[in-house]
Amino acid sequence: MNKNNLLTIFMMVIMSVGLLPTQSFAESSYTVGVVPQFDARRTQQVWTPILKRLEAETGKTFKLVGSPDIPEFEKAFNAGEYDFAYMNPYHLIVANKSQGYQPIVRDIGRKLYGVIVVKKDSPITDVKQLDGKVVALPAPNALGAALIPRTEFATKFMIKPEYKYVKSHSSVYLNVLLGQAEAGGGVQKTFSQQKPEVKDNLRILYETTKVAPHPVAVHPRVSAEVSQQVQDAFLKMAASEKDTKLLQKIPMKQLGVAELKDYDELLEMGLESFYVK
Amino acid sequence: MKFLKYYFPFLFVMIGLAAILHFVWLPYYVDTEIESILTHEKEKTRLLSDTVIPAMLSGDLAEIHTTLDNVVEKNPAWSAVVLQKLDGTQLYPLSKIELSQSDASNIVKHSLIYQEQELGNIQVQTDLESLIAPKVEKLQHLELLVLVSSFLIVMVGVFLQNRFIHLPLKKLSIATSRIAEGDFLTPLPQSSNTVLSKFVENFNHMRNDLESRDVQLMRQQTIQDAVHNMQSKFLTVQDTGAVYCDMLDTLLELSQSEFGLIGEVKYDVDNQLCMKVLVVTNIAWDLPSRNMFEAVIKGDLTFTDIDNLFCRALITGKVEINNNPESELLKMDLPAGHPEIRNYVGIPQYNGKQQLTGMVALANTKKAYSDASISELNIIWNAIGNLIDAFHRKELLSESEAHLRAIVDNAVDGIIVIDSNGTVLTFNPAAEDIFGYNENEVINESIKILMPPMYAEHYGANLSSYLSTVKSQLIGSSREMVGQRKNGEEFFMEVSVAEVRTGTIRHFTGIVRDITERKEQESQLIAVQEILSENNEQLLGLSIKDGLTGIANRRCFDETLEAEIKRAIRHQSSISLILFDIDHFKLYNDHYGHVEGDECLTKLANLVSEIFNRDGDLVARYGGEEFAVILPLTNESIAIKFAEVIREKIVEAAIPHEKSPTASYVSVSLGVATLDVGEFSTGSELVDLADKALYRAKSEGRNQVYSKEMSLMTAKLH
Repeated sequence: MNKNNLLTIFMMVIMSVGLLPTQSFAESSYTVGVVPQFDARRTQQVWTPILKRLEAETGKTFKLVGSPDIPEFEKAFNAGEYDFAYMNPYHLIVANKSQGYQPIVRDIGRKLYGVIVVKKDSPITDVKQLDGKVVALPAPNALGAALIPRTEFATKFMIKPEYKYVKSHSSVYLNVLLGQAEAGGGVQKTFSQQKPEVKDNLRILYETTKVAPHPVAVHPRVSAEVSQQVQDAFLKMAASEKDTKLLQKIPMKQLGVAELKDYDELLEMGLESFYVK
Repeated sequence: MKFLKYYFPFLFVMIGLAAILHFVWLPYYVDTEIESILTHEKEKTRLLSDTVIPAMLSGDLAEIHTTLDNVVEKNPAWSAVVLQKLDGTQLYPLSKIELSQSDASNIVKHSLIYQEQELGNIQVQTDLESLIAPKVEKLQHLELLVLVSSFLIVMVGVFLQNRFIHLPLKKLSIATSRIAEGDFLTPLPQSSNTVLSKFVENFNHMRNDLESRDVQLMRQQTIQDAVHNMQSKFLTVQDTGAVYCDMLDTLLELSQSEFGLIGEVKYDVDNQLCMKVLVVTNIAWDLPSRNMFEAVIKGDLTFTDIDNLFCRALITGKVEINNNPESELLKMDLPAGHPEIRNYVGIPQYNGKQQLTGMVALANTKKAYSDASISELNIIWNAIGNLIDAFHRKELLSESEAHLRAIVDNAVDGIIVIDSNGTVLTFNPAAEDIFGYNENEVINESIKILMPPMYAEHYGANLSSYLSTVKSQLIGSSREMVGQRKNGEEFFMEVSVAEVRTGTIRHFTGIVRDITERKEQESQLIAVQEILSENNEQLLGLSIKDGLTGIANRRCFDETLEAEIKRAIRHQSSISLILFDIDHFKLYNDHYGHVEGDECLTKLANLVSEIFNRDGDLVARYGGEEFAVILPLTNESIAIKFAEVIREKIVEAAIPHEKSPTASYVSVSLGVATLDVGEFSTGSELVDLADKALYRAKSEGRNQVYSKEMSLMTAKLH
């Protein structure tokens, strides 16, 4: 045996070793992508215990995959990079279209919708009056606070307000409160979270169509068996008093089964046209 | 805590310092701090503005609020932060805040400018007080700390100073003042301070010196006192034996000797030196020795054999010390029983003239006699030598005094001695007899009681004038005076007074003899003599006096003139004669009567007599209306003057004479004649000359003087 021969053999061994896990992993390890609603740390804090539970339940390995921002997340799921993914309803539609992701579980205790707020003493009483007025929104694609309202303004009310994107829900409310916008778009949850001096001086002008909230979706490549296992595991967790607390942090108040047809309403809205790429 | 007074200057300094710190430096510091704080806050505001501009631009009010909330929280000194849009809309905080412009000094405003567009401004109101307060508080604490610590340091310093310097010094000064007052035993305080210790050491040396000197002085004082004592006793105590006894006792004490003697130098009939024992310690041990002791008291014990231990000093004339006298004693053959003599010293005594007057012997001092111990008492030896001498002379004096005394006491005549004030000092028995007073009643009384009052005054005057002028009629001679006896009887006495001067003392000794008897006899004699004398006078008077006027008569005049001329010739002197005559006397007599005429004559005679009172001058009635004046030793010109005086005096008398053609008053005419020196004449010749002159005066108009040789004097007519 000369040196060359030794090296070739060594390389081969490495490669085979390198190859091995992929194969075995490919069989029992699944990636889980989570929409970067919160910062990476929080996301990890919330999802790591849940995935551990899943692992315990299913015997499969789940790997949490983060994304720096929403566009990257979108790109990732559109590329089918995630075996499982937690995403907003709109993303589901898109992901379903692009990769065939199917929802398996969702919060069945609540609905997702946007609220349009105005100053308490504002003369505006009807959404239609917002035509041409400045409306503050967090970001154009924020589902409940911005995307749905914008779609409805255009398609349902046929109005064209002047949109001011002020980065956060809190900002929206402040802008409205301080008269920098006639109205602002948010969600009930964030509105409720505002300080009394803010929310007491605002009123909800209009609530949008209510849709099913964020699901956990699964890529078609994942076997139905596994998919089911995961779904059962989630349901089991939801039934457990202890584990349900973990789920509430997602936030999922009341985890239940999710079906694609639950999101038909959203489909019919035609949000894609208003999605800012 | 009296040392606190030293703290006061520091107190003032500290107060000053505190005042400066508080009122000058502190405000300055505060101002500087405020400035720097504002600058700092301005910078922070600027940074803050930069931070919020992006959020302003994007309208992310939540971000602005979060940031500003954070900032406000982090800066408690920012009492208010206000963010405004350019249009004045307050974006932060939610509650509207109007920053009062009155507090403009602590509001930092920063405009938010992006790409040269003003978006709005941030105003920050800083609570300077709260920012400054902690610093100021810290400073004040520091201030206080500094003050308190410096106070404490000073207190400690003063305390230490007091404890380690003042107190020891004070103790030292107290101790030294006690020592200075004489308490030599007071211990001096110890001190750890080396300087003070050294001082204490030195002081102790000094104190010891002082102490020993003190002791020495005391000794000297004792010795001197002894001498004074002896001398004063000599002056006051009569009993010489007692004085000598005291002297010996003192000597024994001073020399710490057991016994001794004092002796006086005497010479026997052969002029050999002997020693008379004046006083000796009583060491009598048996009858013979006791007899000897008695002899001393009587003044009878004299040693003639002096060449022995006891009296050697008299022979050698020097101090003879013998601390081992056994051999000498053996030679002396002392009687048995004589007390042991362990040591002995004989000290010769000299008077001021270096004459040996006596000797002092001492025996049995504690250790031994030494030259030093004897010479220590030199002043005593000097004194004793003189005292022995003085006593001796006093003795002699008393003897002579006694003798004199006896004379006076036994004198027949009274002898009285007085001092310069007239106080009686001596009044002998004879005087007692004369005056009837006892000696005691008169001595120390004034001499005046022995005289009748009126004489006493005169006598007093006499004495004082004598004392002041050494002239007296009385002193130095014998005089008859009137005395007054005790019973008041006045009597005649003959007194001779002599002055007795001794040093400054002036006494007067009077020898008095009662001459009453003699006086009686004398007075009888005098009475007879007087009668005779009177008769004689009368006779003489008849023969020489003018019956009417009382002046000399013609006969007297004639005789006197003769005598005087003879005398003048004999003595080669001049003599003048004035004859004067009353003008128109007959007319006077006729007009006024003879009685008046007589009176006039008498008047004139008296007038003229008054003029002449020289011895030898004679005014006489020459004739009926004629008078003459004899003037021996008088030349013509003077005689003329006299004549004029007579004339004027009579004119001045202004005896009225209506009928006188010459004047309305009585006037006289006068003639003067002189016998000059060397001329010869008889009385009648001179009268003749004068008469001629008189005649001339009359013929020339009367009331004038004429003299043979001169021209007429102009008459003054009234």
